[in-house]
Amino acid sequence: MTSRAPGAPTRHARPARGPARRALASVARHPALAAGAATTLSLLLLGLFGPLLCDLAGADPLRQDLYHPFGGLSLRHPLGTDAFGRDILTRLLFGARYSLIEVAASLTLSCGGGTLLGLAAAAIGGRFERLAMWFMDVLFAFPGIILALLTVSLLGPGLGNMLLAISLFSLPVYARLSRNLARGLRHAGFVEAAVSIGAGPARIMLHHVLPNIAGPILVQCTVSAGSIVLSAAALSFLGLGVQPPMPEWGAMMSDGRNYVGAHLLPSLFPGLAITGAALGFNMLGEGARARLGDDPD
Amino acid sequence: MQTEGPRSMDPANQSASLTAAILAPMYEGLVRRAAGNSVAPLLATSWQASADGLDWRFTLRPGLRFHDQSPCDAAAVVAGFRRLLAPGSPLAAAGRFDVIAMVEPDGAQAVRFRLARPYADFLLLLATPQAWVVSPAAAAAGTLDRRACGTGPFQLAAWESGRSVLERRNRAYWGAAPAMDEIVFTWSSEPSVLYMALRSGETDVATPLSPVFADLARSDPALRLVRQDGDNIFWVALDVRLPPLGDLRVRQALNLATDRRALVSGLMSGFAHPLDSPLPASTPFHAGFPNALRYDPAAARALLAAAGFARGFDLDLAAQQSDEPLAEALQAMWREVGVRTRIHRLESGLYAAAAFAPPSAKLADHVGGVIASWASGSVADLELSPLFSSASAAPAGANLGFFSDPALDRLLEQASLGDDEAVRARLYGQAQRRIVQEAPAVLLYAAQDLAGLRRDIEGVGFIPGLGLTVADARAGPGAQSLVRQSMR
Amino acid sequence: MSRPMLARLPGRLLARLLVLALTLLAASFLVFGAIRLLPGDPARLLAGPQARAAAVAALHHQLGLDRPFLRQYGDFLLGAVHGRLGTSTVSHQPVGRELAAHAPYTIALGLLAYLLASTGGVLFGCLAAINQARLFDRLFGACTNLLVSVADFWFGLMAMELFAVRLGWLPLMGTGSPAHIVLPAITLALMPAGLIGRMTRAGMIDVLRQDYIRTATAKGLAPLAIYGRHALRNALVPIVTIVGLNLGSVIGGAVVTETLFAWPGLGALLVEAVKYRDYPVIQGVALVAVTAVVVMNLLAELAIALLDPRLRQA
Repeated sequence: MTSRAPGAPTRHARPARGPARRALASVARHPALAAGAATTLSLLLLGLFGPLLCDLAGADPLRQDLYHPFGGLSLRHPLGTDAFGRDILTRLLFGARYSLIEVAASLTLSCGGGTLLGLAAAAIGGRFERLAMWFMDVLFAFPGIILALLTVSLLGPGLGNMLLAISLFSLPVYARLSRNLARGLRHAGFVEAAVSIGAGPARIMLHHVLPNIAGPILVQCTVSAGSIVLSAAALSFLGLGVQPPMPEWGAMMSDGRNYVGAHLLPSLFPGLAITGAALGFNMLGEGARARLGDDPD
Repeated sequence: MQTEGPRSMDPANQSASLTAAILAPMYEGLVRRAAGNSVAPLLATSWQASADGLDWRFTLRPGLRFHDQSPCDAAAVVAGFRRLLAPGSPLAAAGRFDVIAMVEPDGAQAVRFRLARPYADFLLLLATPQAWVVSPAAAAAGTLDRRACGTGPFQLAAWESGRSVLERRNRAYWGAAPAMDEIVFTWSSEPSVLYMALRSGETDVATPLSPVFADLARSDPALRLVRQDGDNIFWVALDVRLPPLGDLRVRQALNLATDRRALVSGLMSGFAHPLDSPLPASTPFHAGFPNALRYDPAAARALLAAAGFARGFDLDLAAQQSDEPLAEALQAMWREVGVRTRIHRLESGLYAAAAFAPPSAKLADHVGGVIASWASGSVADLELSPLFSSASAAPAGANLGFFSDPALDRLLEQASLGDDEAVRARLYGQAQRRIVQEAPAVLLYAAQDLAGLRRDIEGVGFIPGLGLTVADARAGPGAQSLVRQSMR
Repeated sequence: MSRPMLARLPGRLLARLLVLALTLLAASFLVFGAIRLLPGDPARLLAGPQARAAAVAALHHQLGLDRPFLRQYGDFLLGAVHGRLGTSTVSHQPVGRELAAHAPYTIALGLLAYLLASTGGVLFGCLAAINQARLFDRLFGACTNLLVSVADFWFGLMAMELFAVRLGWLPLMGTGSPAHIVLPAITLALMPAGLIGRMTRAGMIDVLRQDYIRTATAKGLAPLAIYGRHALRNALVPIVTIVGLNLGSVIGGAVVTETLFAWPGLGALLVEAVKYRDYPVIQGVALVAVTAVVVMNLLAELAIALLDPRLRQA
C-alpha cells in the first residue's frame, strides 16, 4: 500500500466526482492538454490499427511500381506515390508504428534506467550520489545529437542502435529529476516513518517514494516524447537510423529529399506527420505539466 | 558542379571519373581520345610500334613545361610511368599498367615502351587519366596529392577542401589558349541541389545530373541537356564462393528475376539502356543475348525450386549511398521470387573497402552481392578483364565476386592480342556468351551520361572514359560577356 | 552590488570552474575511450579502411597503443591542448585544421540564428505577456508550440522549395553570398525562438505582477518606461539562461540544418565523419562541442549572476 505525503494543500470542499468526470473537467480547462491527448491518441490508433487496415485493403508499403513513380494525388493513392511508386499513405501508416516503437523503447530505457539511477543515488547518497550525478552532468554536456552520432559511429546504423543512442542522451534528465524529487522527500514524514520501522532503502524508494514522484516523471516523459520523435527522425534523415526499405517517417523524408525541386509530395507528408506527432506529444506534455501545476493530486 | 569532389590531385592515385573530370583541364597524356575509338597526338607528336607490337617509341613535343616550370621531357614522362610500375607502388592505379614491361627515355625527346605481351588497346590505355603526365619534382616531393602539377591549359589555383577547386588559365600553355579564364568546380552530393544551382545560374554546368532532374532540364528553355550513350554499366557482383550463389541456377534466377526495363523506366527516367550483355551496346564488339537476360519471374522461381530454394534464401547486398535506390528496387523485385535481401548502405570509403574486400572478409561479412558501376572508355578489354578475369579478383581488380573461369580468361587474353577485327569480334562474342551463361553477376543497365548546361555555354561535351570535359568551354553568342569569364 | 557578495563571487566562481573543468576532462575521456572499446585495432580504425598495412602499423606505434591506457590518454590530452588532434582519414589533413576551417561557419550560423530567435522571441513574448489571455496570446501560444515541434529539416526543405525553387528569392544552399546564410539561419532559429518566446512571456508575466510595476503604473509613468526599464531587464535572466544553454550546443542543433543546406560547419563535418568512420575528426568535433557547451554554461551562469543580484544566492 502506498502512502500519501501528509501536508498536501487541502482542496476546497467540492462535491465528489468520479475520475472520468474529473479528467474531462481538467481537459476542458487545458485546451493544449486536450489537443495533445487527442493527437497522441490518434497516433496510437493509427500506429496500432492503420497497418491492419492496410493489410485488409491489400495495400503493401513495400510494393513498388517502377512504371509509375511520383504519382500525384489520386483515389488509388490519396497521398501520391514515392520514387518507387509505393503508396505514401500506406507507408505513413506503417511509419506511425515505427514512431510508436521509437518513443516506447527510448522512454523505457531512458526513463526506466534514469529513474532507477536517480533513486539509487538518492538512497545511497554520499560519494556514490555525487559521482553518479556528476557523471550525468558529463553526459549532459554532450549535445544530444552529438552523443547519438558518436554512438552510431561506434555501433553502426540501424534502428536498435539509434534507439540506444537516443536513450543515452535522454537518460541524464530522468536521473537528475528523480534524484532531486527523491531528495526533496527525504525528510517527509512517511519516509521517516518507514525508516523507523526498519524498511530497507530499496523498499522505501520503490514502494514509497516512486509513486509520489511518478507524476512529474511522467510529465517529463510526455515532454521527452516529442523530442524523441524529432531526434529519431533526424537520425534516420541523416541515414543513420532505420535501414531501407522500412517506412519510417524520417527515412521517408531522407528519400524524398533527393527530389526536392522536382517532386514535393514524398517529402511533404512524412514531414507533416513528424511535426504533427511531435506537436501532439509536446502539447500533451505542456498540458500535463500545467495541469500538474494547477492541481497536484 | 558535380556530385563529388576530387579524391586526389594525382591522376595516378585515383580511379573516380569525377575526380578525373576535375583533373582533366590540368593534365595531359601522351595521347588523347578522339572520335570513335581512336587517339590523337597530345604531348606526343608521333609514335611508331614494332611489327610484333611489343616495342613502342613516342616522340615528345619540344619545349613543354609543367606548371611548376620544370621541363616536361622524356625523363619526366618515364619517371611518371616508373612510379606506376614500381613494385609495391602505393598508387591506386598501380595495377593497371602491368602490360608495360619496361619504359625508358630515348634521348631527351622520345620515350620507349616495351610491353610484356601484345596489347591491342595500348594507345587507348595511354589516353586514360591514370596515364597523364605529372611533374616528377612534385611527385618526388609528395605534394602531388594536394597540389596538381601537369601541363594542361589550366592550373590549380586553390583547392578548398570539401568546397571547391579553382583552376586558372595557364598563361604558359603550349597549345591554343582556352576561352575561359577560370574554372570553378564545386560539388554537392545532393541531386536536387545540382539541378537547382543550374536553374538559378549558380552553376553553368551540372553533372552527373540525376535522371529525375534531367527530365526537367530537358523541358526548361534556359537549360540544355547533354546526353551521351555511355559505357557506365551497373551490375551486381555476386560472390560465387558464398552459398547459395555458388549454384549457377541461383545466379541465373537472380538475373531472370530482374526487370531491367522497369529499372530504366522508373529509376533512370528512361536515360539508360537495359543490358543484354556485359558490354554496353555502344562498345565495339558488343554481342547481345536478350533472351538470357529477359525478365521472367516464373522461370526464376522454377530455377530456384530446382536448386532447392523453393522458399527462397537470404542475401546481403552492399551498395554505395548513391546506388541505394537501385538496391531498394532490386530488393523489391527479388522479394517476388522469395529472395530476402538486406541492404548495407555504405559511404564511399567504407563501400570501397567492403566491395574490394578479399574472399575471407566477404565470407565473414556474409556479403553476397555488391552493386557496382564501371566505366572503361568503351574499350572492350578494359570493360571485361577487370571485371571478370581470374587475375582481377578483388582486391587486385574489380572482379568483386571472385569469378574464375579459365576458358574465359583465355578468350579475353587472346582477344586483347590481335589486330584482326573479325577475329577479335568472334572471340569477344564468345567471351560475352560465356559471361552471360555463367552469370557471375546480375547485369542491369548502361546509364547515359547526363549533364545540364545553361543554354549559353558551348564547347562542353562527353569524352568516353573521361566524363564531361569543360576545358574547351566558351560562352556562346547571346551570353553576357564578362571581363573575367569564369565558369562554375 | 554589495561588497560581501562581490567578495564571495570569485570563490564560488573558482569552484564552478573546477567542476566544469573536470566535466570537460571526463567528457574527453569518454570520447577518447569510446573508440578503444570497439573490437579490433583502433589504429586501423583511426587510419581508415583504405590505409595500407604499413600506414596502420606506423599509426599504431605513433599512438602508442602498446602503452598503458592512461599514458595514451595523457598523450592524447597533451596533443589536444596543443591542437594536435590527429589526422583525418578522409582528407588527410590535421584534424585541428579541419575544425578551424569549419568552425567559423557554425559560429556565424549560430550567432545569426540566435540573434533572430532572441529578437523575435523577446518581442513577441513581451507582446504576448502584455496582452495576456487575449487572442494574441493564444495565437502566440499555438505558434510557440509549433515552433518547438516542427521538424527543422522538414521546414528547411519546404522553405527551400518555396523560396529558392518556386520564388527564386534566396539561394538554395552552400556558401558564397550573404544571402546564403538566410535560410539556414531561419531554420535553425525556429526552436530557440519558440523557447525564448515562451520564457520571455512567462518571465514578463511574473514581473508585471510585481508590486513595483503596479506602483510605477500608479505613479503614472509612461508604459514604455515601465516595461522598458524595469520589467525587461529582469526578464532578461531567463533569456540569457536559454541562449546560454542552447548556444553552447549549437553544434549539435545545427547538424541537420548544416547537412541539409550544405553549410560547411562543424555539424556537417561531423555527419560526414560519421558516415566515413573518420574517427579522428569525430573525436575532434565531439571535444569541441562539449567544450562549447561547458564554456557557454559558465558564461551564462556568470551573466545571470551579474544580472540578477537576488539569484546569486540560489
